[in-house]
Amino acid sequence: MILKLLDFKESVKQLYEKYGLYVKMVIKLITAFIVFSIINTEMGYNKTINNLVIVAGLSIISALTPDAVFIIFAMFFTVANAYSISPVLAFVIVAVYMVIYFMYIRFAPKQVYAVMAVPVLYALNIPYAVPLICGIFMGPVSIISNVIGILLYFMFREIINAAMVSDGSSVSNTVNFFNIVVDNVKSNTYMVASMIIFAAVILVTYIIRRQKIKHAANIAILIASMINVVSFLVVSAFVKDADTTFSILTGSIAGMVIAYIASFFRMSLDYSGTKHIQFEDDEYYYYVKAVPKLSVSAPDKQIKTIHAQSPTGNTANISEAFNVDYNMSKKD
Amino acid sequence: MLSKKKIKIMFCMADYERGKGRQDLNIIKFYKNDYIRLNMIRSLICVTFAYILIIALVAMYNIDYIVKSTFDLPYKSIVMWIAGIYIALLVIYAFISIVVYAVKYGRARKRVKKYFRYLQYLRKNYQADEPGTTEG
Repeated sequence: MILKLLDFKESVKQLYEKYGLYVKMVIKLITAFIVFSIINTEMGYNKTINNLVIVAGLSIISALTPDAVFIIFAMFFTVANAYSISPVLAFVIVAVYMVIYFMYIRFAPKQVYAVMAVPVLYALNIPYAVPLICGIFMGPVSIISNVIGILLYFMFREIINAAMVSDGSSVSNTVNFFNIVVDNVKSNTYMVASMIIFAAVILVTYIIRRQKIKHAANIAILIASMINVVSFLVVSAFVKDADTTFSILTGSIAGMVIAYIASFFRMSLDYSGTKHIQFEDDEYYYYVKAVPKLSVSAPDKQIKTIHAQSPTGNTANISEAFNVDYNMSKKD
Repeated sequence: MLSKKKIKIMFCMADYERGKGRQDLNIIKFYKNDYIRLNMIRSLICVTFAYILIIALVAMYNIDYIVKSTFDLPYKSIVMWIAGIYIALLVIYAFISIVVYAVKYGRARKRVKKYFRYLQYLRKNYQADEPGTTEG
């Protein structure tokens, strides 16, 4: 089983090494499409952007451009949807994004993925994968990203809930709308509990992963997942508006599986496969294509079929020696 | 003449120049203290913007109260609080900036040092290849 998995890992790596650029593009395209669709499904107040052609078009543009464009598009989708409920709310969301950028993302730009992943995976009921992966790959700094992500998710959830009861047509309504959202977010104890549990899970994963023990990452994921499940079940028993036991259990198992897969396929994030580079010196122009070597060769399968044979008297062959012993023991 | 080692080194250097090198060389053109100071000023400007936005959001949240009691508000203590928090934020972010950008500069300098070592090696090699050229 393990050998098969390692073979699979090698073949995936090989594929990535050969077609790294295209694989990245396809992954980005699928991710962008899923993220934009989730935002439209959950909010979906703006009819203009709630359109498959626009979603597909912007996903393609995201796949072909740097990551920052994808993030800006995702933000644009949330702001445009919020604008349809109330312009004041759109301003608030833009302000919140700017505050997050100026005070945190500016110092740790890669953390923007963790911030984005939390609300998106909450919508898919697998948010518990994020702290595990952050603990394995990023470290304690990502606690801040997770806390911000949770805050954004609950803010959007309260906006959706409040939009159901308010039309936000007048200025006083929009300000009231904003107050309702902030009040609900402020009084949400489940949100605070989630932040604390996520922080604990990241710390536990990070600390165990750094220990000099065999399979440290796997043990870290297992223990942190158990802590996650138990903590959320305890919290859900005492706090209202908490997730159901079923969703906590399924979400945690799915999160654990995703974290295991991510840990299994752990590769350097700036890995870029085959490289084409041009340079020159006084004598030559060089057009170099560098293809990375594989650490393990592709599966070299040797299938041995062992048939029962009658002994030939020559016991130099190990399989025949076993046959002799087997026949002797039968006679006894 | 083509040399495998030379091509390898030139490839590494070209790859570095194309990727992180561009950023590193931009960082390293400053003195360490200048780089940290410049980024600290940028961070403090960003924090000021963020703080203004936070104050705007808080004011919007309390707009009803502000409108109702415009003349009764304890402006002095409000201004003191706002200024106090602002100064605390500036101090915290100045410290964070110093740490973050010092580490960033250190890492960039390490990589650029390696890059210059390679450059030096290549220069020596080319000088050795040229007939009748002496080093110096």
